[in-house]
Amino acid sequence: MSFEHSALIPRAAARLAEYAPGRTIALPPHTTFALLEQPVVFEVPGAARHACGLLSWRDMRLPLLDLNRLLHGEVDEEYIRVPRFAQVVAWQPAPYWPLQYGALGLSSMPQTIVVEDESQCALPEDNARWTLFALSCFQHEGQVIPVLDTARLFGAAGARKIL
Amino acid sequence: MTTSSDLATDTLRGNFVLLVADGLSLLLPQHEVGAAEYLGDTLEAADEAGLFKLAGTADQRRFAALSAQMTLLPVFPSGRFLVTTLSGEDREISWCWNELRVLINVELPLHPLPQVMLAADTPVSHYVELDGKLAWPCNAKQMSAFALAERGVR
Repeated sequence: MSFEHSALIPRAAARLAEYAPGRTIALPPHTTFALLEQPVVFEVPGAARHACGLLSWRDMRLPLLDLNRLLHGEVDEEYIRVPRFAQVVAWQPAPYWPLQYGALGLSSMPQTIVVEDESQCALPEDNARWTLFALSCFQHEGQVIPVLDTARLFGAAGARKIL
Repeated sequence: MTTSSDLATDTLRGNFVLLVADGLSLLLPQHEVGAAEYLGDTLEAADEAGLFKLAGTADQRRFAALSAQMTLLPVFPSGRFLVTTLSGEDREISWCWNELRVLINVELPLHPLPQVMLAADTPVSHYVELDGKLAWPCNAKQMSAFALAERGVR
């Protein structure tokens, strides 16, 4: 029976996050925290080009990153200064270490979906940078969606490799 | 009192000058900042991109105004009427600010910027909170080298 069959298929939740129009990554739900609309961002002089600035959240100042610039080298000055949304994410430098936080600029509200294991696919081959930051990849509604590893992204090594 | 920043203990101690250029607040050691002057004359673009000179005079001084990204502004902004020179520069530039404040014997918690934000050539690696705003400790030589190398809004 189809119902019994589908209950046996391994599946997991994923948070779809559009970081630029038509460009989407997935985040493991346990890494996502607050979503801030029209975030207040402090510009950082001389910062890396993919860094929008520092975001205030819970008495902390978090790095807010522009994935479009980081992954594709593309610049939308207006978007970089004020992303519409900031998604606060957590990462751990190593197992059992305290959580660290960062934020990603998004162009629309994230959406939670359920992904079946059989949707898994290869990382896009048109951009070698995915191998630095993505855990895996799946297909959703005809689109290839890389799953972002927040520790690789916010741990300094990954991002600095491509500066 | 010796002016120094003690990165190991995450505290900025000593005598500093807060230099404000609209959205940019820099904290430079006091001994690196020359006496302030009031700019009462009109500036015009000099031959070099991002630098300005006094209009209608033979004065050889060159003036510069910084953006919030610490780059040279191509058009001189209004309100930058305070001028200082800085020590340790390879060439002398007169830097123009909105506000200048001497901070004597301060002791401020120094916060490192997340590594993921740092560019290879950045003169800024830490920040302090001052009157509810962020200010960026740096030294004159690095700041000047960065601004002059960029030559334009980043």
